[in-house]
Amino acid sequence: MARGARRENETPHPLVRDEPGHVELLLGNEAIARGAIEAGVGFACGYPGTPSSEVTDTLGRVAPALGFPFEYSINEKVAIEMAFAASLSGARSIVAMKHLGLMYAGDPLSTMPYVGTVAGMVIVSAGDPSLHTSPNEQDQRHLAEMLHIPMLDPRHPAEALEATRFAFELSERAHLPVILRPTTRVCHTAAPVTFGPIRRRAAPRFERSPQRLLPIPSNARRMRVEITERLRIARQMMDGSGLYLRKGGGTRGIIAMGAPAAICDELTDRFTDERRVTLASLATVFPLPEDWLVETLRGLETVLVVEELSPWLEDRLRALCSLHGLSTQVLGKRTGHFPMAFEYEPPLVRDVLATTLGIGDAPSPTRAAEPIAPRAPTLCAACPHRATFFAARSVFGPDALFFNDIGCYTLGVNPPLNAGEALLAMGAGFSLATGVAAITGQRTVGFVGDSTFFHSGIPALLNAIKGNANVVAVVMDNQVTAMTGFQESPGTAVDDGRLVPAASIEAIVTALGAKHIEIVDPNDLSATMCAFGRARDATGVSVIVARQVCPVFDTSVLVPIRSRKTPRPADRIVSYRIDQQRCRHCGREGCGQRCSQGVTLEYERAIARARSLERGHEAQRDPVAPCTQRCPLYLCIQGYAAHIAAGRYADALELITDGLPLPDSVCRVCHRPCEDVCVRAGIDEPVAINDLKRFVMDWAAQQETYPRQPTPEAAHGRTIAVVGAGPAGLAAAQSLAMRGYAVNLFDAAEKPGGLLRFGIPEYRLPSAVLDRDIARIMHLGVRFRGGQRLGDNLELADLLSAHDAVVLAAGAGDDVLLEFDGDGPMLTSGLRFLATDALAAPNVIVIGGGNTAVDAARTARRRGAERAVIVCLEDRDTMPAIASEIEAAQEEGVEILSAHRAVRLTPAGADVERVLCRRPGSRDPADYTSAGDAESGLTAQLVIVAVGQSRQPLAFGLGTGRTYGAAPDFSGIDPETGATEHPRVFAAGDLASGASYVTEAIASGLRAAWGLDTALRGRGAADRRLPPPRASRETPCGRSGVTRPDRDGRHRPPELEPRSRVNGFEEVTGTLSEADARREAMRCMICGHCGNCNACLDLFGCPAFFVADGRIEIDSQLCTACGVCAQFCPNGAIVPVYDRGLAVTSTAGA
Amino acid sequence: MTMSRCNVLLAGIGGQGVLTLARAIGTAAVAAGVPVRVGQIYGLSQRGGSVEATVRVGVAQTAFVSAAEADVLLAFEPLEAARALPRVSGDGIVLVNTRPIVPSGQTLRQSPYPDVASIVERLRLVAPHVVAVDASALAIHAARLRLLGTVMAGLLAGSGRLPFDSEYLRSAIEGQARSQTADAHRVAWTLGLEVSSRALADAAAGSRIATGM
Repeated sequence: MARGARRENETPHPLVRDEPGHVELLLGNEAIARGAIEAGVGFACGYPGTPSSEVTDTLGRVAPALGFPFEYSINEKVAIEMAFAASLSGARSIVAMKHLGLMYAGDPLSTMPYVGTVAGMVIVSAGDPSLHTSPNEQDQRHLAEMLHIPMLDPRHPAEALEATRFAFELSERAHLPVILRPTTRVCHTAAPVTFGPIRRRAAPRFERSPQRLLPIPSNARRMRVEITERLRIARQMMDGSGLYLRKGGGTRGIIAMGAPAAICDELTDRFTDERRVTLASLATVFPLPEDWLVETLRGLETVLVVEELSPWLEDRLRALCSLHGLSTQVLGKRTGHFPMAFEYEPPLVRDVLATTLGIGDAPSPTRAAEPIAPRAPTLCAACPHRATFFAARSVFGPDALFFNDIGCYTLGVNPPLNAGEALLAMGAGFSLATGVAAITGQRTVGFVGDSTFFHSGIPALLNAIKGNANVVAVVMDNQVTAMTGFQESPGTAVDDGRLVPAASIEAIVTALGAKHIEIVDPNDLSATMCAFGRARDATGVSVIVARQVCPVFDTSVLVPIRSRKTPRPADRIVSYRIDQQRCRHCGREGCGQRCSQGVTLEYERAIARARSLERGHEAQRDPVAPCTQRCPLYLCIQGYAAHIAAGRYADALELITDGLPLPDSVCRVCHRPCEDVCVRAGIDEPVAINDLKRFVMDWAAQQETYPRQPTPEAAHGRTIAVVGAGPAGLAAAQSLAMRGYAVNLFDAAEKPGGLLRFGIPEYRLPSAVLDRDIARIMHLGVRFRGGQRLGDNLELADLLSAHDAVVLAAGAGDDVLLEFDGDGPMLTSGLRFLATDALAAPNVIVIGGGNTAVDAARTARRRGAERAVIVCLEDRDTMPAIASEIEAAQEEGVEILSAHRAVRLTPAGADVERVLCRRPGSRDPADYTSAGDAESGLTAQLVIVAVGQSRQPLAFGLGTGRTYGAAPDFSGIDPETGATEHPRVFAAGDLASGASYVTEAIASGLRAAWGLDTALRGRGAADRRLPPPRASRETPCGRSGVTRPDRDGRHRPPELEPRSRVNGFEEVTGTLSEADARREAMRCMICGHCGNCNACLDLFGCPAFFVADGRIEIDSQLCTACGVCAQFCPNGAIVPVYDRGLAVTSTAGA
Repeated sequence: MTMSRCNVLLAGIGGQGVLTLARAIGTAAVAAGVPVRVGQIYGLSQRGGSVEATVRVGVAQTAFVSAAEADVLLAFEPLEAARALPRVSGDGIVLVNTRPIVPSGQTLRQSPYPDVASIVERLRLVAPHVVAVDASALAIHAARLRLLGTVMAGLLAGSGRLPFDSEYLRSAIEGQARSQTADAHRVAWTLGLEVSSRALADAAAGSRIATGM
């Protein structure tokens, strides 16, 4: 690293020793730096890039001691211009970069030989054959002749020093810059290097010489001619340099250039004793020593050319042979003896030497390597920009196209982040994203790092802004050039061991004219995802600066500087660990309700996104979401919400229909206790849970083939009678059929459905929808027989003799009819009114505050009543009817006289009075007393009483001495199993537990089916389909303290205009649009645990995570406690470990 | 056993100290006046990828250690030892840290990490001498995991394969270390040295014993 991490009392760097003859182990790159030092370099600069970085890193370290200026420049073009400026000023200069950078600097480079150098100038451009750390391998040798720039290609580290020193002399004498082109094997091989003397520097000064320095065409034409002379001088100097040498003898020869020359040297040292061979090798590329080469070729019959990448030298040797009439056979790449690509290793060269020249060992067979699991590099544990990619993908979804940067962030293209469609060059992340968006209209996000932003991202961004492109541009600012070893960029707040102000990316972006700019800390996932969300919804160029310092740089450089001032907090988090009791643990598992679904990435992204957006994620939570706890069917609501958010509606359908036998009906008529406890209600509004379910069911109904086909167990020959085809009976029949039973379903009515068909009006539940639900149940093989009333034409004893067991689900029966004094208008019950189309009147009073009362009043309006008044004991807020139904009734003109009761019927209608309640919210009429106000009269021709249902006026004995159904006494029925005292009779629904909601009746039916199955086949078989546990009436903990910054109100389905509703029985409430449903589903906070989650592995991919014995674990050595994973873990299973070794969890068993 | 030349292959994972140790061996050779080449390929290595370095002591122009050419494999991690195995020579010695580090890609696919004992068995099929030890535990015992490189250096010294006095290596490592940690380095060095010298002495006495497994 450049100049951040210098320690106090540091011993002098070994490279500054002015001690000729000293031997030091140096990398090729360090040898180049030493060569520059010995040449008296007066300025050094560059742009970091492997394998060149140690040249500049080393010079940066020693520059203060040696008193010459050093800089990491903004980019290679600027660096080369800075170095040239130094040369023109009389200071010897060196500038280093990798091969790609030289291309970026091509513009100034191509004119430099015309202007010419004053003091020596050396350009180091490291090549990377075999692409160890580069996106391409390029043969820079081709540039030398084109640019008229001398080029050297050192063969080994010691020569790198000599070549550098020589290059300065050459540059100064020939007035040309010199390119030093070491390759990876020279740059990164260390060898003993002998030091020479250090040359003294003269004071630099720029001398004016416009004729010499201004390449305007009139001057440049003259300069072009001068270049030829300069190159002649260069070649002359090379002849005496020792940079090419010849040894051995004989008519077979090798000519090698650059790094492979060292391989040939070593191989021929080993083999020439047997048979003689001529070895000629060069460290000079351009200009070539043509006379020397011709002299070499003249004595050879066959020559093997050993050079990497292209047949550059081979072609020139062949041209020389042709020019000079030589018959030497030239072998190399063109003749197929060497491959065109990649670097050469000794076994390859040895084999080619043996097969072509007949020297050395014959090729030896090598052991085939066994496949070993790869260990690919990845973004570091704790890299803050893993979180940036994670957040971006979470917000933009799987279809958005990401264009990525060169550097650390390239690693984001690997799974699981997959943040990269195409990769090209520094800064191209912005240009590619802009171009693809402009041309295709697809959603694109461009990424660059901070160094790249300064290097080449600014023009690309300005181009996008100027063109008003629709693109999101993300600067991932870790405040240092991390990939190549923590070199400073303008955004680095450290220079030479001191804190300094960093350049402001946002100020530059603002000045470029961007309108939408946000700065976020990616380690704050919630804020980052909200910022990405706003960028997603904006048009034009949106710039997100995701700023968080590289933690490795922070620890090694910034912390030591800062810690002089700020003490370390004593009680800090040192790492995170997995709480195995929560990890991949389904909250519903305890009740046997865990789903059998496989996990999908989209689902995981949805649940992780929901948690990421939260703040206060460490708040107390139950394993089961409050909505599920309160749901009579214990449905995994968060699960289907997440599937909907992910666009996976078939998965949502599976989750709904697995636990709910009458989904099409329930998604219309449910009383939604879930929404009462929704955690989201504390933030804005509860999630529209039932509307989401409705969306899925209506989506499924529109599919050509129904997307979910249940697979019942194989039939086992047992037959069950279910009496009563209301919700409880239908549920029991469905569950029993799924369990492999043959089911006969009896009902007094001619059509199945019970209360759903006769007690709920068409505008809430169209009969066609109910028929869909029933058809699916019948499709399982259930046989329905209507017109069969128990005690009338159906006898329990007969059923028992014909079936293995009986489920009684005959419902709560008729409404309670109140006794009234006085003669008055016609009196009927709510259910009877709803079931009898003919009943109607201009003025209607409905007594009661429940759903049947509201349904009756709304139906009365539809049957032509001018005035419908609901008289109920409860306050408006405590009426048991569904709130939205009450609202809808009021919209339709239904009047509500709450906290009132009817005292008596009168010829005109009824007298009513206000009441007071002793126990607010009570449903017991005895708790309401007269307020003592004056009575008032209401006009009515019809009074409908809807104050609840009685037990079926049906009494039957089971031969046990007890009579069921005669009184409201359920004590003989086990609510968990529906078991009665008769071992083969089970009860479900209102008969088992009193009048209740549809979902509770269904749950009761499912429990009776399980109880029956347990009795007939045993727990083993029955428990394959556990029924829902009885819903708790206690308020769940509700995760107080959790908030979300993204306020987003509930999405509402379309509804009919109130005025047109009362003209008919058309369904009032419609379905959410797909877009609204997905947005609504994204509002779900995922409050419970999920057993299918692998989000940390599948979406985040932090290398600190591993799997051992099937359990996810965190390596405490790699974890740096960034805490990002803990923010998105849907189960809250990632918990901190504190300095004292104590872990804090919010559940027991830590 | 003193040899005039020795090819050492170091294999491990970025951040374990592979390159630092390779450099120290090279520095020691220079101090001992022995020709040396040290090769290292890196760039992405700091990001949890495989990293290797080669040290060729004695006459050498390049730092390449090709198939079946490594006289010593110094493996900082068992899976990396398996990866480097084809390059161990027929009379080579393998000094392997048995503490596994599961590759993150492996984690991702949730395929199991190979059994360490079976990796060691595979090493034994190729190399006549294998010293397998939980060197990470030794480093932590000495002070902290960061000293793994010094433990591995001790193992190398104890193997007797270096063609120069191992004191040069010890002082090269001390030269790299900060003065406050010199004692801990000495402890780590000694722990490694004793393990390999004892294991090889036992092997010479007729039994091929791996310690620490």
